[in-house]
Amino acid sequence: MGGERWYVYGIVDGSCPPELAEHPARLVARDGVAAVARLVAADDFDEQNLPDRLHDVDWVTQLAVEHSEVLDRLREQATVLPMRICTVYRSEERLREMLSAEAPRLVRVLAHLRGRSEWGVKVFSVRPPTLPEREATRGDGTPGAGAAYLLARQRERDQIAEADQLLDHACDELHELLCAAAVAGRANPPQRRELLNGVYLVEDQLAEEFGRLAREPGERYAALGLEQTLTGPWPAYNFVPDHAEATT
Amino acid sequence: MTTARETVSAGVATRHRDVTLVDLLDRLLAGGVVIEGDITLAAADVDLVALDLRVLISSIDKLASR
Repeated sequence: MGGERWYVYGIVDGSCPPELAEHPARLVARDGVAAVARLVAADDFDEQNLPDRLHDVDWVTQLAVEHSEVLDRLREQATVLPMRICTVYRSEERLREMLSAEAPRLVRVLAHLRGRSEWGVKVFSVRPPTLPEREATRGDGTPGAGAAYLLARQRERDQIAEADQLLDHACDELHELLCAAAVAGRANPPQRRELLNGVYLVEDQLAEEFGRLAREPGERYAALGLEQTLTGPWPAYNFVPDHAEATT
Repeated sequence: MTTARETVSAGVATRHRDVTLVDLLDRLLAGGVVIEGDITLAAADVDLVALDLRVLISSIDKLASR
């Protein structure tokens, strides 16, 4: 087909737009908001080719890294609404139409996110937890070998359940603590070995305090075989309402 | 630009910026503003991409924890 498309990275306040310096992305403004967008080859981003491209892991990875780098650079200068990856328009005019239609919502969300950033806290179980020693009850009644075996199995199951409970509790506690220190927080579905996959919208002025809280459970967590990671600041990928009518 | 933000990025923030690719992709595929584009990733597409990427995840995890 040939031709070009507009790939949109994110949205910024149109009244005090950031400097884009040497990046090929440019600002397309309308009604008080501006899209940070770049002309891309239509061949990569049309309906026919995009599905194939998406199966090319290298291509997706490169796009994701670039998308994120553009937003990170912007984030240092301005509040940025990150777009979902691969939002593409056929022309500058179509892009401006979208901005015009969405401007009230975008302005509202930008105001909500101003001076705030997203942080991520994940908790992993890296070792089995050390449980307090329990007195063995099976020695008392001199049970037969079969009964002893069953008792041992039962104890094992109890210990696993107890450990799970301790771990869940520790994660819940940390999540609650972090939510209380944040404007908003959410536990996303844990991935892979994660026990907690939390995301938090935090006032930038309180970011250091938040970071301290996220790291503080270190010693207690170590006894439970837990490790946590803190990442950020991110553009607020997880804190943009899905729809215009969503709460602010 | 606020001074608060500068402080953050100069201090605690940058040290924790060593983020795995997986973490990034999770955010980019699941988050962000969803606006109808002329071409947009449909939910089904996102699932497919995620599926492809899961294949890579274990190797990336290993790299990250080296």
